[in-house]
Amino acid sequence: MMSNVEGGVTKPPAGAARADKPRGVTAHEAFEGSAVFASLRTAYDTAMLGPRVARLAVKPPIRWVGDAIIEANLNVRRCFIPLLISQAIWIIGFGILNFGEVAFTLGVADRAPGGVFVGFTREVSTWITMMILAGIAGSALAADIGARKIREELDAMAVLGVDTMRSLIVPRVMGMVYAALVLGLLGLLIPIGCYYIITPAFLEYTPAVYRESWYLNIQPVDLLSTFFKHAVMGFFIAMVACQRGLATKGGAEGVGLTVTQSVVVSFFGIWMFNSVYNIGFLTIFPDLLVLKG
Amino acid sequence: MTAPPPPPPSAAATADPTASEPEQVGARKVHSGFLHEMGELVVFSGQAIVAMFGTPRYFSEVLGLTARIVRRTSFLLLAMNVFLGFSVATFGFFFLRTIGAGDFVGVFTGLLTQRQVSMTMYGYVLSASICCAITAELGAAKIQQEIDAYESTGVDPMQLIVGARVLAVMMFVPLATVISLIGQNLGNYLDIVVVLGGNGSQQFLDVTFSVQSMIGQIYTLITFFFMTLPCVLVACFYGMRASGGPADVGRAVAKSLMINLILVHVISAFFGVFFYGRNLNIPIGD
Amino acid sequence: MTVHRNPGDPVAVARDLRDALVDVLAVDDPAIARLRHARTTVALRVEGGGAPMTLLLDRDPPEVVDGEDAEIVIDLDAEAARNMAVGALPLPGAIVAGDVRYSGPVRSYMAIDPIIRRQLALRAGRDPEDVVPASAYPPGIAPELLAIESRGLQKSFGAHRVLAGLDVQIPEGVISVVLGPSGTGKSVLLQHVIGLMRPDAGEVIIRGRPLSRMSRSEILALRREIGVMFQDGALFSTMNIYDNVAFPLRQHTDLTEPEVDEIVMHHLDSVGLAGATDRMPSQLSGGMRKRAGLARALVLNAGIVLCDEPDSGLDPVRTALLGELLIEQHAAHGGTMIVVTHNVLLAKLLADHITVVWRGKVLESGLAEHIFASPTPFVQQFLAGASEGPLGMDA
Repeated sequence: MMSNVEGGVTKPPAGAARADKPRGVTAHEAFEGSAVFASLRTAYDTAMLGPRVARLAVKPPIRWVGDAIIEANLNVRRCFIPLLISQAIWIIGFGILNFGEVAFTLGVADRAPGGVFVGFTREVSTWITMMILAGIAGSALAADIGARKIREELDAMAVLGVDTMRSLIVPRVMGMVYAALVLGLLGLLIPIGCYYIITPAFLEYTPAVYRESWYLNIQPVDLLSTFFKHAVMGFFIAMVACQRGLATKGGAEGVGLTVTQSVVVSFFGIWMFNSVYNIGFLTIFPDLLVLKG
Repeated sequence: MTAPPPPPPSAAATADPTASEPEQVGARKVHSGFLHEMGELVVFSGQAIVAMFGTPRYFSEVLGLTARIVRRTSFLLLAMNVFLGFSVATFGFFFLRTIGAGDFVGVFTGLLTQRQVSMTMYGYVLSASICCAITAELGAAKIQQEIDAYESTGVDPMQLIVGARVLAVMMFVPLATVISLIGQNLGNYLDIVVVLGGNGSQQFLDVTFSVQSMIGQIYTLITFFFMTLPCVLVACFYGMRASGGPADVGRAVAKSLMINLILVHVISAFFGVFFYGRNLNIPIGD
Repeated sequence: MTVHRNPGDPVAVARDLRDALVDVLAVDDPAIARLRHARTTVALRVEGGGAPMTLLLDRDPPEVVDGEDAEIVIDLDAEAARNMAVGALPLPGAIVAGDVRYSGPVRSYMAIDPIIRRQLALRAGRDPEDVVPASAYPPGIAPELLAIESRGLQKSFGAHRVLAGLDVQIPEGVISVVLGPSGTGKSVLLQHVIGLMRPDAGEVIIRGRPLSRMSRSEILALRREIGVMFQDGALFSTMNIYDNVAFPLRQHTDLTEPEVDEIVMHHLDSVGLAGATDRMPSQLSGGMRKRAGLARALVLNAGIVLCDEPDSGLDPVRTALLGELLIEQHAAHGGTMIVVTHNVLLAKLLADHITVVWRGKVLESGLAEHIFASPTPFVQQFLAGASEGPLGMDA
């Protein structure tokens, strides 16, 4: 599908090297022309963009706040309906109909709300929210920056003396972080709300039991950790989207490739970060998962 | 300088008198835009499925596409499933250990792997890696008039382009099922046995495979099939619908991904309930 | 000008014409071999020239015999016959203008007239471009003479009305230029002709067959008769040039690979790309992509060739060269070529027939000479490229 990856990136440099230097290609040159080098180069560029954006975000004059709020608002509005549908359908299907039924069979239905809350805050809600954010807001951001790049809007801004990093990239990155936090909170509230509305009647207990089980299991460290995770992932999504967008080359195929790659890379990164982070976090705070009540 | 200059009188005088009418129609259309689009999507899907019966004549094209998907997606799918296995196993291990059931973490991971999360993860990889690439490729071809060029040479792009892609991804599904299940069990195993050291190897494998059955694997395969068809059709629809410039290709990709992510969650939850519903067949208390 | 104004003895003229046709049909040229695609027989009667002669174009090789037992009968006066014998009479124009009388399904002969005319001109040692102009076209052309006709075609995109009742009449066997300013629906018209768009109202009729009554499979089959050269070539980006040109043959014919190779190389050679067969579309210049697109459009022997803005993105010299190539290819393949452009110079170079389109309507159409002499203010402004006139920046 991404046929120009093979044809476009890896082959021509090798061919060019052959044509220019009949004495053969050194290992160093061969490596610079390889796909591995291209990937490493991209990773390096993305990693370098992060500190640069962070430095610009805190270095006066700080002008990004207004734009970042507008961007965050846009991202939240874009993602809200898909997030609502996805979270609700997941909690109803798996949380209530499947897991709730197990809990009911085992006679521990009254403890299910706490279990669902713990499971959703730490895992499922984060997965779904971040997939939605990366898939919808991240891809839209990559498409936007990529389109500006090939329409030469970025060059036009530079000619007019506008710092594209400050005026374009920083507000979008910070907007994505805001949106990740807001959507993270919504992503917690939606499943809890669905559970609260449906399960008392379905699993035969009173709403008071539900609330009690829920209150008992809210833990500040846990919530802080979840929000920290969301902020980091939001920053990462925006980084990848911006880096890929700024590196867009060619015409229509280039923009399409940009969006696809940024989505794949951010999905991959989110899952890698999530799995590693959880192991570390739970090893440090092993008692967080004690189900109370 | 602020007020726009009045339109030149000659242009106003010669303007088509009917030109103002369609503008109102356009404004009204905006409200029903999304529903209209979904209607078009349904019609497109119908046409694509009918056209797919003519696709086998392009079987070599289908095989080529499948090979490309296998090459590009297999490793990603495996890695993502390993990460998923890590996340699930970490949560399950610490959760169960607090109630003194750390030895039975295999039940938790085994059940979740096959019945819930594998479909969702496959959906993520499908919509991000495969479907986005399809939309990007078709969108670029569409705005460079390549699709029109197929039409103009008398070849039906619904057969050659759309049908071949749907069939190609379908052919990837059995392999994807195997990769997904292996990847997740591998992730679970590595996390529980190697990284956390919570269970012995034999102990974990015994427990986790005692709850995974052949029929469950077939259910997973069926879910994968029913997830693939609509997602690929959505990707093709938005690709074939792209118009305008390169920016619109990016927008088409983003839009198809949005629809696909919703579909992934809805379909995985639906089949989770459809196959396991209120009877989970868990070997507890038996 | 070597065109004969003095008709001379009709019998001698008829004999000359017959000799010329016999010679021409015996020429070893791929274009002559293509004549049999017309699958028709034509009787030519020269006024006062004795027995009529008949071209049996359904034979291989084609022959000239005496008699008038033919599908199509064309009556020529002595002057027309003399001009025809030296390739100076464009029969499609003369038939449409009513200078020459005919009976039978003459369209199939009009389609191949460019091929015969060029060979006749070459035999007489004359420039094929140097022809006797026909009289002015009548306001309505008989439907059986038209390659493409649209009746009251309307199309809107949301608020924007692109085609507002377009009535196009394009006769068979000519190079017809659809001329008009940017954004007047010229390319949208092409999309309707290929059947890629359905009109909101109105009808497109291709060689007497209305598109709206065709099923999708019939439209797909019809498109094999229509070749399209897209604006930027629209080459399939996953295939090299050779495979792009071979694609229609491999899809629609049962030719073996050597036969495909022969046809593809012939077409690539004729557009000057024989040395670039294994280059990918992204490695070609704009002009090369267009020429490759033309080769692909012609490879199935399409009877109707549509060219969408062939001059876009080319400098004037390359535009002129591409124009020459289009004329050459039309003479070699016959049929009807429709060129959509806003380039007046290209239109002057190419056109036998011109349709001027503005704001989704046909402003004027007819023989190129008559359009260029038209007194309509819009046409005058457009042809002169003047800033004063009905055409402004916004409309």
